[in-house]
Formats: sequence, structure tokens, C-alpha cells
Amino acid sequence: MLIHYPKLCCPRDGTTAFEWPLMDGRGSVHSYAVCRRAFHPAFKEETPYVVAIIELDEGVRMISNVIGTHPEAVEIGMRVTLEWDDAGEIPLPKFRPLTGDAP
Amino acid sequence: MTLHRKAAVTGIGETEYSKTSVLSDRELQLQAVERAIADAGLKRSDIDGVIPSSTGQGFTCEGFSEHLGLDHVTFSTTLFFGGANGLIGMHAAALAVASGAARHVVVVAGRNGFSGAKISARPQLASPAFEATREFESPFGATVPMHFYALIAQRHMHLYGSTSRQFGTVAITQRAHATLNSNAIMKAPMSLEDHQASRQLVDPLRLFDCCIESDGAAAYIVSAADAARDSRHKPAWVLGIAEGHPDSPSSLATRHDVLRSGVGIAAPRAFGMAGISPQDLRAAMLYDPFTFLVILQLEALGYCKPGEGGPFVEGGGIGLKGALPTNTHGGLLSQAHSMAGINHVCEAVKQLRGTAGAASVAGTGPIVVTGNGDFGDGAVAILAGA
Repeated sequence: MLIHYPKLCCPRDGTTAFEWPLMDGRGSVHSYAVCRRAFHPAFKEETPYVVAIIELDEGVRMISNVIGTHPEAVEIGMRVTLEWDDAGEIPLPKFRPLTGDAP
Repeated sequence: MTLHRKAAVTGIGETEYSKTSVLSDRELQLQAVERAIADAGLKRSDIDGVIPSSTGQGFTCEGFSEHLGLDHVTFSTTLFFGGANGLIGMHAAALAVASGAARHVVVVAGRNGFSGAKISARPQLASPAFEATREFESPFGATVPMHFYALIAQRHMHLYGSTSRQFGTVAITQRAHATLNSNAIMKAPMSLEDHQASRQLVDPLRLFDCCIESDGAAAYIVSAADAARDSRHKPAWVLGIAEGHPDSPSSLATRHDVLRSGVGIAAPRAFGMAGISPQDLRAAMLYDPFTFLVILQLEALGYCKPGEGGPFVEGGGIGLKGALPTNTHGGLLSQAHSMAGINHVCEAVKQLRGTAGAASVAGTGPIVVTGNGDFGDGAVAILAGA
């Protein structure tokens, strides 16, 4: 069973014997919102930015950003692939549209 | 144990709702509680149960006891469900009076949500419940409730074709209701064009899809059935009440179904306890931090089928002359928002007493009241005046 976000124990059977499996990095947009105003100063330069629920092909979901495309082009079901954002102190897993070889 | 007719709301108290409070959170809460006690025709010493809210800089149970001279409190609990506290508190209070743990329980919430710590800054996101949000979601700019409710709304639009104009109809309908309410903050008329021209903040939600931030507090008293019969006003009887908590309650993204809410989980139990169908309702007070939540809850309650909430609203269904007059006080969108939805309870009680002024439309009910907080914890109460 895959769990995300990390928890202290498995919500299904209570085990704490976790491993960190690698994800393929591909998924699709489950929902999204186009943020035109920043509610925190750290994101002022980013607007407009897209907050999205990404469903990884392995089945887990996470909040991230869809980058590398115009916000208006984002839609639910859009195929995306991982792109690390290394600009800040902590690398952030973001997603850009997957083109061409999408299965 | 069924709570059907085992409890009633016997007193309500509200402060002035404004954006210019000169009182502290605690002074606002005390004023609301004192007004609710007076409204019920009770003495302070009659209060033996206290359910304070965990939001703002308000009192704990001890603070109320010390300031109101309560000397035989036999029941108290504190809730941590944000905007749902106001109605989940009614569930706890009803359980307390039905079991005999207390006879008169006061539920209170309120703060300076405009003049003090702003509600949009959402200090609750700093609470332990939102650890995952802070660690895994805030770094992507998902920092306020609006981001998460926009994600729910977008999903609903995708699945069912609901539209921004339908959201706008909620806003203008409730604004029209607020213009009839002397204790509502937003009274300037709003047109659908005004809504559509309002600033896009987090698509698909616009500025006029958001509730207001205000200062104020509200309280109500839940009394045991035998005690309620002696109360000063006609009691608002609890026909049915239930609470619900979705899976993954504090992380919307990882919830099995992002449209699933505590209100939807609680609704069948609340209606079953009340012995009525959603179609029997005469009015609804639905927790409305954003316009879209009204549409979603009409569906979650089973009043509209999934996807039919938007068209119902667009057809005038929630207006005073509609099939289900909704948020007849103006709601969080246009009356006030800083009291965890207790203003919805107060409005339902006024409707059942026939004291809701020009917005009085519901006779003796039944009326449904909902609470929704922290992205999905919720409660449903069905109240009637007879």
C-alpha cells in the first residue's frame, strides 16, 4: 500500500515498517486552481500560478504546481510529469505537461 | 439513543456585527452569552454546560465560569473543527442535555475576524490539524482555505458543468436577503454582472464568491426537553442532528473523493432521526464560506441530485420566494463571518419564532442548518418550531 503524505503508521494495518519507493513521476491533474492573487508575500512574484491536485499514476495524490505552460491551458485530466524546482532552499516536486510520448 | 425532540434551542444572542469592533474577542463572547441567557429567560446560574470555540482569543470554559459566576458547570467540551464548531457544538450539547449531564448548555463563538487576526489569514492553518498542509502543500502556494475550496469547486464544475454564474446567483440572492437584515454588514445591492466583474482571486472563485471578514460573536442555549417547555420563547426543537468527518479530514488532496464532506455523511442520519425527507424542508441555513459551498451542500443534503444544485439556484430556488429559501439572514457571504456559523443557528431560531422580519418565510419549519469547517468536518441539524 502506498501512503502519502507520510504518516506515523499505516492507516490500514498500523504497521510502521515503511519503505520509500520511487515513483515514475507521471500523473494527471485531478483538479486545479489558478491563483491570481498571492495571500502570502512569498508567492507574489509567482502569480498567476496553478495549484493542482496531482494524481500520480501509482495512485497517490499530492498538492503541487503545474508549471511550464500558460495557466489557461491547464485542465482536469491533463497528463503531467515531474520537474524538480531547485531554485529554493528545499527542492520542490512540481509538474509540467507531458507531451508526445504519453501512454 | 435518538436525540429526536430531546433538546431544543431556547435562547439566542448576537452582538452587533461590524468591521469596527472596539471590544476584545472575550468581551464580544461575553456579550453574546449574556444576551442568549436573557433571551432564554434564564439566570446565569441556570447554565450548567459550556461549549466554547477554539478559534480566536476567546474564553475557555473556565473563563466563562469566572466571568459569569457559573458555579455548577457539569459539562464542557471544546471543539477543534473551525467553522463547524458552531453546529457540532449543538450535537454535543444535545447529547449532554438528553443524557442528563446538563440542562442548559451554552454554545458560543466569536472574535474580531476583521479588526483582529484576519480570517483570511486563517490562523487555524497553524493548528496541529494542518501539519501536512503546512509541510507538503503551503510550499506550492496553497496557503489559505480559498485555494482548497477552489479545487473542490473546479472538480464539481468538471464533473457536473456547474458555472461561475450559478455561484454568482448564490452571492446576489444572499445579498438581497442581507438588505432586509438590520444586523447584516453588506447591504449594497449586487447584480450578477457585479459578481462576474469582481476580481478573479483563485479561479474559479472570484472576490464576490468569498464570505466577508467581520467582528462579532454569537451564542445559543440548548436546553433539555422538560426545561425547554418552560422557556420564555417558543423552543426550536431538535428533530434530528448528526455530525460527520470525511476520510483524510485535514488533507483534501488525499481524500478519497474531494467532493465528500461531513455534511454529506451526517445528512442521512439527521434526516432519519427527524423522520422527514429533504423535500419537507421549509428553509435552509447552509454554511457558506464560499458561494459554491451552498450548491455543494444542497446536493450533499440530498435536496438536489448531484449536479442539480447549480440549476436549482439559478432558477431562483434559494430566494425568499423559492422552493427552499436559504440563508435568509445573508449568511457568511453578506451578513457576517466570525462566529463559526452560529449566526445561521440564530436565524433558524428567528424564523421558527416568526421574528425574522421581512425575511420570515419558514413558518414552524422544518429548517436545516449545516456547519462545515476545516475542509470537510461538518454537522447537520433539523429544527422545528412545533
